[in-house]
Amino acid sequence: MASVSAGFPSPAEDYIEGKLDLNKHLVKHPAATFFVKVTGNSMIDAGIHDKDMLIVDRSIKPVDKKVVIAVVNGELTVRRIRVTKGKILLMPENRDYKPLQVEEEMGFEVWGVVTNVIHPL
Amino acid sequence: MSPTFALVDCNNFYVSCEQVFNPGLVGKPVVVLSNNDGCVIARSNEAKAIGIQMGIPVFKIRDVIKAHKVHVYSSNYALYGDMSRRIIKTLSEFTPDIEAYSIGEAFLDLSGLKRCNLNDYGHSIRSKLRKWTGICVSVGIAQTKTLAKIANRIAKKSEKADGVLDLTGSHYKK
Repeated sequence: MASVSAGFPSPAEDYIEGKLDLNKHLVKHPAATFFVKVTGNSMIDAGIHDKDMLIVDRSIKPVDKKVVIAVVNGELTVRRIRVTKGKILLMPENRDYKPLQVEEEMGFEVWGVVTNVIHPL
Repeated sequence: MSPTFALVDCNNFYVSCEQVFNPGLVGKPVVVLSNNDGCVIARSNEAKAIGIQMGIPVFKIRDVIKAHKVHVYSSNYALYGDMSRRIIKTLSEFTPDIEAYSIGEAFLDLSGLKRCNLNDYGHSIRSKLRKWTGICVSVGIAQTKTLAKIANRIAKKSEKADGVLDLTGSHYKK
């Protein structure tokens, strides 16, 4: 025999909302957004650690001071981009690493702009 | 109102997908193989240039692969499917009338866009897809789907076209 409740219904029932969806919350352009995994500590002072996951949006314009995924000599790397006096610098955020000035023969390209870091505590 | 169709076709689609996530492969001979690594089903332009034929069984070109240091990949359909979905989604910002024709091709109905320069429109589709997804496409525009397919073929091969050919222009008619 099944039982039925004859009690008072939940007053919250009409107000239940969907769960917070991190995809919707953190990804503005799903078609242009990719997740990448970090290897190394060159951006540690920007809060980007080894094995962290980055949310990368390719549709955003890579302006001065953005943290970007760049292609340098066929390799993907994460750096902060600085544009000064027509020069492009890729800045690490770790004193043990050196800035890199972009030269024409490097085959440089900005792959995407980093919007968030997912870091386990 | 005469109809207008665009065929957007990804260049060397499976190889291009691999190159997005491994930019070191750009400018190199790259092939992608069919299920169980049987035959060549996608080739970079560099792989085409050294004479690797579409569909050839990989065992027949072992020496070519070795001699030219060809990068050989097993197919990764989960990746190609995901990239295809991104391309369709990006195209939907240009028109709601999209027909996904194959994993790397889609027809767009541009019949309502008579007043804009279709060649420029094709180039903006091309550059947005390149930026958002990393994939290079060619765009063929014409009054029928068949002609759009032919326009696409020419757009892909011709340097002058630079990836876009609009056959609806008056000098192509008659």
